[in-house]
Amino acid sequence: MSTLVPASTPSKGNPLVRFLNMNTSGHTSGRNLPLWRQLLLQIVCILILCSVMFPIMYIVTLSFSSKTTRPSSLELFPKEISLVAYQQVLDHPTGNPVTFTELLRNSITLSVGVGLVALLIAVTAAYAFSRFNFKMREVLMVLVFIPLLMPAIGLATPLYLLLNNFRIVDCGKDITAFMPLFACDEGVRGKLIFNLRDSLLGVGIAITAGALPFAIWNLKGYLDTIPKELEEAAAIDGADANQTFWKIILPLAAPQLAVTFFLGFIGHWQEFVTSWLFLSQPKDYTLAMTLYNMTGQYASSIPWNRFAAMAVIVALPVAFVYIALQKQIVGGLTTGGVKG
Amino acid sequence: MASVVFENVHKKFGDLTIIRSLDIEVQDKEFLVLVGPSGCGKTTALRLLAGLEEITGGEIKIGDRLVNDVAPKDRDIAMVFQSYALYPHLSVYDNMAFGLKLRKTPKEEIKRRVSEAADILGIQELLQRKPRQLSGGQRQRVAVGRAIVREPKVFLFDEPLSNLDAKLRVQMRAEISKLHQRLQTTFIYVTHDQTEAMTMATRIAVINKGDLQQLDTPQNLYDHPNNLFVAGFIGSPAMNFFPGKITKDGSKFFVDTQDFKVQIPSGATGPYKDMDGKNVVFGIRPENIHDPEFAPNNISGEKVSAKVDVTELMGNETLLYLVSGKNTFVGRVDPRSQLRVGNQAQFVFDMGKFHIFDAETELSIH
Amino acid sequence: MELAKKQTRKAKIQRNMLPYYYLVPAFLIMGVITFYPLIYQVIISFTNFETQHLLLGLKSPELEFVGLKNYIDIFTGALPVENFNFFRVLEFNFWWAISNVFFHVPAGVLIAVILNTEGLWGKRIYRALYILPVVVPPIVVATVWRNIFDEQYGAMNQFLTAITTFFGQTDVVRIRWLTEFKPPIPGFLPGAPLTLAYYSMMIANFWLGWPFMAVVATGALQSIPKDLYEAASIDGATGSQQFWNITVPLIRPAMIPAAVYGFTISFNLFAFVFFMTGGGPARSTEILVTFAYNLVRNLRWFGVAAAFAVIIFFIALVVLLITNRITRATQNISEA
Ligand SMILES: Nc1ncnc2c1ncn2[C@@H]1O[C@H](COP(=O)(O)OP(=O)(O)O)[C@@H](O)[C@H]1O
Ligand SMILES: [Mg+2]
Repeated sequence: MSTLVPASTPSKGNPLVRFLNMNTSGHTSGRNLPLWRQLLLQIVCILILCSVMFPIMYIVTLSFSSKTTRPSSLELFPKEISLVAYQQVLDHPTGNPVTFTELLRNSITLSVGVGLVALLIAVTAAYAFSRFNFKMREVLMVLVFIPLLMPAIGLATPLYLLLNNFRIVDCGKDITAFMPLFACDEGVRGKLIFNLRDSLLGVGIAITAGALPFAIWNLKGYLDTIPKELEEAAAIDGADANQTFWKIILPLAAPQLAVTFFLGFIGHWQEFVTSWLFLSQPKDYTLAMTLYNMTGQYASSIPWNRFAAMAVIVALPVAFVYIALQKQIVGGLTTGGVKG
Repeated sequence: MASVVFENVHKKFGDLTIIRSLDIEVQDKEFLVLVGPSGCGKTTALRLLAGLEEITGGEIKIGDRLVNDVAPKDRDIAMVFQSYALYPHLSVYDNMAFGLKLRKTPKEEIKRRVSEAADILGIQELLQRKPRQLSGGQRQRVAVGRAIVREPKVFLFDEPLSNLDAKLRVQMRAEISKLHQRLQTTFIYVTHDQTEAMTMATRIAVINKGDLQQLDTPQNLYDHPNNLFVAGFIGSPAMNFFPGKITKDGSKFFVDTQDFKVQIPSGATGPYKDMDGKNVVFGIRPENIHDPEFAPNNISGEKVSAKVDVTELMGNETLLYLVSGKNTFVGRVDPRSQLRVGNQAQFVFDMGKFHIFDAETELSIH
Repeated sequence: MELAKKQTRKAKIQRNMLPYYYLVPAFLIMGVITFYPLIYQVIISFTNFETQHLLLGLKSPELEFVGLKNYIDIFTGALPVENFNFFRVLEFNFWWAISNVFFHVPAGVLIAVILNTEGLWGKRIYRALYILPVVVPPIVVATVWRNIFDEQYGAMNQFLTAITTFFGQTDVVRIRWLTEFKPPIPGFLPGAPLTLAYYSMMIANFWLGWPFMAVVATGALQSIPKDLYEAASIDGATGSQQFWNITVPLIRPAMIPAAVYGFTISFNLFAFVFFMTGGGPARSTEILVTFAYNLVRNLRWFGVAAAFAVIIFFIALVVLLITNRITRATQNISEA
């Protein structure tokens, strides 16, 4: 079952960490690299570096430009450090009456909220799948992981249709209807106050639905590596199953809880498929949606420096979390603690 | 402080029978060692007693109480795991205090007991460390400490020394023995190492393939093994075995291995009277084979001609690997022995210390 | 005695029920927000659900059950959508995923090997910077690359112009990277035209994809004991012999799952394709998930979209079974 989803995502962290923390001293083994080879390899490495940095420098340079016109020549290093574009994006991110703070708040609410809720629900299920042998185990596990086969849009569509039924309507005459429980009188259309589908809550529900199987899978994989003896020692020490879960398993899983949360955060921060499908009011938009909006059909009217600034702003938290994630993994208990 | 009883205990994993029928009575305050080769079911037996595995049939009692369906935490036992199973996220102090906290022991009492245990084990200065900051030996002590503070009726140890280096192992062996004397509690200790068993136990249960072979004091096991397995398992280097036949010549009885023939001392022929022609295995321990030059004179010796194949000079003794026809065997002789590789000699078998086993049933004939 | 037995039996039942208690929250919530919608999805895939049914859902009086019509329409191309051919999209989707992995894995391994060279200067810096593409969100990567390939103002054409100017040309390079429909190599993939947009996407996705493979390969390289190479060089093996006889076989067990993972990621690379080309020009770079999105978001044919999602589900199931077999087969090799 554990092979339902191919293993080794970048999340597994360790390879990423190892990639960065490899022994570079080089004094473990004998001979020196011949100079000509050193130089040859340096040239190759620098060429690769240029290709890696090219789009990044391009966008960063653009974002620091004060020119609102489209770039007429290729610049990969900022000629000026102008924060005009950032300022404009922060002041007035879109053509709509929505502030940057609101966009930011929506993005954070959605990504942090979904991350936490999914974690909370997933961890007990992961514990059950990882540590107990029970009759329905295989069947239930297949059931939980089945949604992983459905693309996000495939899960979002029926939720779109279902959540659309949950509305609050002002029927006039001081009557408020909570659909689908109570509708307005026949013939009265009323005024829509709230549509669950067209709200951050609704989007959150839809994203959570997609996030849960992955969170369960990710946590189960980690819990599987916690030695059974620890639980047995706790059982002998006098802990019942709940105490073992809270006092032994959860603290030991803390690093992976963090990893799972942050991976979720990264994913949801960039999410725009579901939100773009569900949300229609600019006040609910997220930063990712705004970035998308800047490239699509309106792209020609948006100054590229502002687009670039927005791209940098959206990218920063993700890059930052990736770096934080590594520290979490290195410093966490995974490196020998659990096994020792 | 309690006795422990296994009565007709059996255990299956699925269709696989691991323990067929185990009967062991462990007395109060005893240090019982379960010993046997890897995979023979020692750990399983211990886990059944701890309540970590469900018993398939039979009864386990701790004290007078039937514990078949009692949860581990209510059995009043403590266990030291082979991997130590220290909680990696808790400090040494909290590792030791964990069980007491769960049992709502008053804080002062916890402190007192942990401190006392730490004193006994000499880990006072480690109390604030995390397990990963400890060496193997220190972790081992903490694991023992965690068991001590609980003041259980029975201590269970599952190969606690197998992850330590040789020197530390010898040291910890002595310390655990001392601990047993000090605590005056029932210890049940699992190991595959017969030396550990011999040095620590008050009694040893030898297990093979899930069956109890013999349960006795170390000395009795050594001197009077019940069967071929126990004879070969206990003692190092192992007892020498020679397949052969009982033969009779007038009133004298011999064991004939075709390569050599030794006479059974006339005072000891009783059990073999009706066994003329029976297939047996003749057994003799290495230390009962002597260099003819240094053989004590007060023994009834039988001479066996053999050639030295390999010598191991240990200083206080010398091991000679000997060949006689198709038999190879080991002699543990006086260090002054001048015999070297290639030498042929008439080795002296001390016929006061021999063993004879039925070749079919493998049981000792005595 | 009787009482005691009863109690232990009760305790036993309670112990056996325990895992189910732990599963309750997840299944309760997933039941409502995952399983029920998935079933609902299957139901509406047999209807003509469209925008006008939104308010009343399945209770709408005009909602018709159309049987397998949606499925048949999708397979036969009877949908009134321009340039849509299900099997062409499917073929392109597989080709897209495979051709990506085909380039990412060797590049990742090669670069990891270079960076693993003993005594190479600046290793640490290279490693830290090479990881950047993994760290930048795909949504940003795709939008940036889309602008890089912009016909008039994009960096790519400017870059090429700079080169041609250097060689004395005066013309400005105006390659229509994302909009030119005529395939540069006609008939390269029978049945599905590979437009310039495909190659542009390949370039952009290459930039995005190889660092991950390099990370995995580095991990695998690190776990190869050094003395193997020392033994090989004592035996007289040259550098390339060592690479093919030690490095490749030993990192294979790690690289194959990574390749499988890369395949599934590329196969469903929604945000990237959607931002880069939106499936264009003329649906030549459409993959299954982008088309599914189109059906819902732009066309609002919910019934058809549901049928399409169900089809994708089964395709994913087949892909999973195949990739699982590949991974498992290679595991057995490495364990043997
Ligand atoms: N949970 C289990 N399921 C199936 N077989 C097991 C299990 N635990 C142990 N065994 C088997 O039972 C036998 C005895 O194991 P164990 O008691 O651990 O041996 P020992 O501790 O004497 O080395 C071994 O053959 C082992 O493979
Ligand atoms: Mg064992």
